[in-house]
Parts: sequence; C-alpha cells; structure tokens
Amino acid sequence: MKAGVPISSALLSSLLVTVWLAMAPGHAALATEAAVVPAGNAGRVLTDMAEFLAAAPAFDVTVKASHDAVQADGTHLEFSAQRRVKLARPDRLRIESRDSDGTVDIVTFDGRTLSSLRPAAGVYAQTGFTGDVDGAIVHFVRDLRMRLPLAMLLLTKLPDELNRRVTTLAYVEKTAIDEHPVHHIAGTTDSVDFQVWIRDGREPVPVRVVITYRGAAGQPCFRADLVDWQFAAPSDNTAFDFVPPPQARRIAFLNQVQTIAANPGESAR
Amino acid sequence: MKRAQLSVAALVATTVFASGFVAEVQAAGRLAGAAPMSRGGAIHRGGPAAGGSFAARDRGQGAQRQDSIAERQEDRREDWQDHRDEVREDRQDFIEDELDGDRDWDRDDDWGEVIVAGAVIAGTAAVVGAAAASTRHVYYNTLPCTATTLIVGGITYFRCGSIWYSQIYAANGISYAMVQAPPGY
Repeated sequence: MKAGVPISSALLSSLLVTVWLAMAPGHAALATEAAVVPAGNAGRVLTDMAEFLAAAPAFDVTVKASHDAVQADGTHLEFSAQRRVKLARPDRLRIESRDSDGTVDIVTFDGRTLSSLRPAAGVYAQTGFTGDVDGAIVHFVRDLRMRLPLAMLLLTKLPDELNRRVTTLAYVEKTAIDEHPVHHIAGTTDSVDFQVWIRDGREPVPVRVVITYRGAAGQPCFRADLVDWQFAAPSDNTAFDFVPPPQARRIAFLNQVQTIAANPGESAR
Repeated sequence: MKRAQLSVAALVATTVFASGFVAEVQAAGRLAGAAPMSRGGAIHRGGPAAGGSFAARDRGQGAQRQDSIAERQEDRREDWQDHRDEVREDRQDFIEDELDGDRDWDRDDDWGEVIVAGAVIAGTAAVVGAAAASTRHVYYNTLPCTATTLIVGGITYFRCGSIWYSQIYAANGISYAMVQAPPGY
C-alpha cells in the first residue's frame, strides 16, 4: 500500500459534505443525479459508495465470502460462506448464512428482538434489543460477541466509520466485473489493508471486497463478492419475523450466562 | 519415409504418455508418504480473516501502537472491574481469552468490531484461557455427564450434581460451558 496517499480526516470530511449536499434531496435523487465518478478520485468513489449505502432505505444483497484460516503449521486453508442480507431501515434485518460445511445460521432483528437460529442443531438464542439496525448490529458484534463479516457496510454511519478508520487511499484502476465498469480502490486502516471494487454509475455499490490482516500470522485474507444488489423496499415484513422451528430450544448468548472457570485438572477431560 | 514419420510420432507420444505416467506414479508415491498437515491439531476454521472486519489487532506492524491501546484499555478495564466481584472477573477473563482479541478498541466511542478466533473444539473438550491456570474455562462438544435439564428464564440449563452447564451460541459455534447456577438455584 505504499502507493497510497495519506488521506486526512478533513479531506474525507469535506468530501462527505460535498457529496451529502449533492445528495440532499434524498436517496432517490442520489440514484438519478449521481454522475459517473471521474477515474482517479479514490476518496470521492469511496465516499459515494458509503453515502449511497447509508442513505438506502432498504437493500438486499448476497455476499459470497471466503477467508484464509492459518493452521498451526502455518499453512492456509480457505473456507467459504454465503450470506443473504436483507435490511430495511430503520429496524429490520435478516441475514441467512451458509458456511462451506453446510452450517446454516439465521439472524433476525425486528426492532425489539435480536435472534440467532441454527436450524440443524434445533437451537436459537435471543435477546431483547429496542432500537434501529445500527444499534442492533453493534450490540450483536460487540456485546453478544457474534460474527458478522462486513458489518460496517450495513451501518448508516458507514461514512463516519470509513472517515475514522481509513489512513491511506489509492485509486488503482477502472476495470470491469461481470461486464459492469467498476473502480478499484485500495486503502489501509491502522490494522488492515483493504481493496474494494465499486460499481461506476448511479448505484455505486461495492461488488468485491478484499481485506488483508497484515499484522496477523500468515497475513490471511477475507474476500467477498457482493452480488444481486436490490434496493426495493420489502413488500412485507414477515421475512424479519423470528419463527423458531417446533421443538427448537433456546440457549444463551455469551452475555446471558456467567461462565465460570474449571479447576485446572478438569481441562484434560 | 511416411512410415518412419509415424514411428517417430508414435515414439514421441509413447514417451510423453510414459513420462506422464511415471510422474503420476511418483506423485502418488509422494502423496502416500506425505506428512499430515496441522500435525497434532484439528482443522482450524477461524482466525482473524473469518470476521471480515475492517479492524484487527495488529500483532506485527503497528504492534507498539496496539500495545498502547491495550494498555489504555487495560487501565479502563481495571477501573471497571474494581466494581465487580470475582466471578464477574472470571467471566471477563473468559471473554478476553475466548475471543482472539482482534478488535478495534482505538477510541472510546468505538463499537469494537470483534473477530473471534473460531477456536475449534477438539475431542470432548477444549481449554480456553490458559493465561492463568486458575481461571481456565472449558468448552465441551457434548456434555461430560448425564445431566438433568431445566429451563430457567427461557434458557435451557443442564445440571450435573452441583455443576451447571449451558449451551452457548457464539461466533465460533455452539458448545457447552460451565456456568453459574441460574438465579434461584
């Protein structure tokens, strides 16, 4: 990432303000008025993407992800997962994920309750949380200690998060993915290197993300292709309702029980 | 002349085929004798990249900065823990140990994206939290005893004598953990 240029908070902030003013009439206006971003302006491209997602009242996207898992002997194994994310602001979220080993998890939030279901195991965990999707995601990741890759992209405060985290940014090239022109952006935060390919045009969505954990052993990568973006409001909210299967048992999230230490001798059991 | 050309072609083809065959046999021989990967350990599915987060604890470059962050966090944690009892402290240890610590605690208002190590539970139990021998927490794939099942507060608990277990839904999977007895027990 040495080719990247330092990007100051002030610069990103000014970019955000500029783009926000241009988009002030609302998201629909954004979709119709946003011009093709000139190649070479990495900050503008990234800001456009962040503002576009943050302002979207609803979206539906499929995330085809994979990650490197560094083994004890240093070798890399790649595991994959596919997630269908349905988000309807302010307070509806559903994420259905299927890992490469077939494990399915379904996370739902309906504005009052946050639930996670693993159908094959016949168990679910649930906690009350009143608020919006932003709050639910933060609670899910920070307090419940659950995993939600690319969670930042789901937040309305995505522009602020990027503004706060990005330390360098570079425009790599204009290229194409699935025959759509895209901007290839590379950047760094304090702890990771990232690349994002953002669609050129009226809907500047991220279509590919690669994150490299440069400080971790083996420098593993996370990769994701984001496909089938849809922005129509859901016709009904039943998709966000949590309906546990019959006989499903409720178990605990980490923060709902007090785990205790075993005696040292018990560890060998 | 034509026959000679055909013969040469056949010879070349045979040689290529034979060399390929030999190469395959040699490869099979190497495969047969190959050492197992991740010797002595289970396949590890998690790690920093599993979380797909834009934040991670930097163990290499930037480690000094992260140390500083950790120190600040540790200071805050110590203050915070002054008001907690020992059990609570154990639980905090557990969380700290269970999670790989790949998070961004950079600022007080940070919501701390967390990446869980995805600790694989090998065999019946896996020890988590080896930093302090007196505060080890244990995960189980299956209950280590024949338990009585109770539902308290909507959550299922398992009781083996005086020891209570609960299933935990965490980022790295579902497992059993020793827990405090639920309220009223």
